[in-house]
Amino acid sequence: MVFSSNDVYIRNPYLRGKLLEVMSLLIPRGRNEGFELGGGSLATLFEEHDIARKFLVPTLIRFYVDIEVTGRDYSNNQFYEKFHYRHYMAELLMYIMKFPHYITALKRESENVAEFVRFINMMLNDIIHCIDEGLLKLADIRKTEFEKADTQAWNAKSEEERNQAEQHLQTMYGQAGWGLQAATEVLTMMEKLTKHVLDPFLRAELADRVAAMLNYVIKTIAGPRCIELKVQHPEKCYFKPKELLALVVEVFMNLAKHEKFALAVVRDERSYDHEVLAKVYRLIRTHALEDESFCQQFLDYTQVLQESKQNQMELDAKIEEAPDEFLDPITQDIMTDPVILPTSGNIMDRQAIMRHLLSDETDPFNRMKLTPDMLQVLALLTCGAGLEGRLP
Amino acid sequence: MQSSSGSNPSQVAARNCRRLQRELADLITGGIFHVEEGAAGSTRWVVKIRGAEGTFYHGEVFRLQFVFPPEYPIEAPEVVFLHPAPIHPHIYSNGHICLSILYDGGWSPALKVESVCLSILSMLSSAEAKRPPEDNDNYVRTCSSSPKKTRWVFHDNKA
Repeated sequence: MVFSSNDVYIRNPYLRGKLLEVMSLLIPRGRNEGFELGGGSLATLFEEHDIARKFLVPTLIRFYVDIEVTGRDYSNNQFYEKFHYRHYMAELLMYIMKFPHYITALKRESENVAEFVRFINMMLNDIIHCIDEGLLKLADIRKTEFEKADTQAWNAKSEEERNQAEQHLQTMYGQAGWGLQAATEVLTMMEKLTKHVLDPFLRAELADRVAAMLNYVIKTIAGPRCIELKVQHPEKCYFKPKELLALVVEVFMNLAKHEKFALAVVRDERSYDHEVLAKVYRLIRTHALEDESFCQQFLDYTQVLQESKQNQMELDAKIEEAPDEFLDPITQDIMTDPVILPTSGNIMDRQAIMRHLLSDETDPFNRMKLTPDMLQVLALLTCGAGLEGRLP
Repeated sequence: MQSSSGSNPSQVAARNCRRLQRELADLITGGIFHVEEGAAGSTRWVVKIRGAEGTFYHGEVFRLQFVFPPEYPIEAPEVVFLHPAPIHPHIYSNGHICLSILYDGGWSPALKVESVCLSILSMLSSAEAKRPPEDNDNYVRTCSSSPKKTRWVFHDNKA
């Protein structure tokens, strides 16, 4: 079965999705919690079967990537189907990560950089899409609940209007619940992955997106506008702000072990906010969401970030004076690793063009096919050194 | 009471402040289009566009609204005409514009606010008749508030 879900044997991603669905049913489940070790013969299948040990991890990751292509551009229904099948993939992946040899397999797989990066990029898309779906609906629910609370105006409406509003409210609770549950699942998967694999998450083309996503989620649930998410029945849409916050902070701190993460966090001008992180620290401490030593590490890290931000601002001041040829034409950021796009001859920063190629494999200037291996390193790398010389 | 049910939950500066700063400066120096509202740190700009001489739209002034998503310029801005929108076979009366470069597949991060304005101006100028799209009423009644959610079918490349 594992064998056949590889794309060499069956090309149709939906069929493979169905196979994963069946496989996820084989996950041994404890009575109360999701998974339990040593669940008899079924567990041995995952644990010991050679084919599973060899192919399962790459198969799952390839599946997550392949289903994207099919989910796009079609009717809404298929868009959600993508999430449906990815859910089984996530269940399987989280289950097998209980076994050390699968973790080894995962680390090996992460060396296949191109595919792993696409996998992470899609996880990010999913999280952002689902969390927005959930949180925007919450704000909407809150609005309707306010209207209901205004008894006079509410009673003045016709019965039909009230029924309609009531129905709308239930639908929104359902949709918010779907978004939040899906987002939580992908975040949980990301938390487990980042325990073992860090490098691909912090590659130049991804680091900023990863950091921006985490900053955004943290700011939304703990920032100054978090009050807008308060609804009357959070349990109805699986909204557990504390657990969600703890989860995001855990991913955050997993990534913090990598030295490149701090810079990516503070470069995010949209959502990075020291005040919010200080508040997060108070929240995780007072609600005992994390243990004492974790809280301390988090606090220390916020200091590291603040220093990083300071350095970044000093660098920014220099950029103001930088001549155009040192700036990336798309982002207007200073280039640190300039490359030539072979078909249009333009020069861009590797980070910026790689980010673009993740969603669209074309040269932005002429729309010709462009893949990462076609980028040519600029031989005369005068950028870093040259800039230092030319600036006061 | 506050409401944040817009299409763009972020009201703070977009990630790519520096790019927008540059575009704004170039747009002002370029002098073809007048920026009515807009700052580098703002995610919403309004740009005035004048109908060209010798076309159906000579003497008319329209206002284009740009909303920049956090991933701009990787992702396309949301571009609509504010009321009243020009009467044109590819422009719906609610301001939505049927132009491939504004949507997935047609957008490129090398495009800028200025180049988008120029494309739209050229689309206006090349109109062969001053009439609304054939499916205007139906579209306006059923579409989403953001044109980026519409599944566009682009009929020709004349625009």
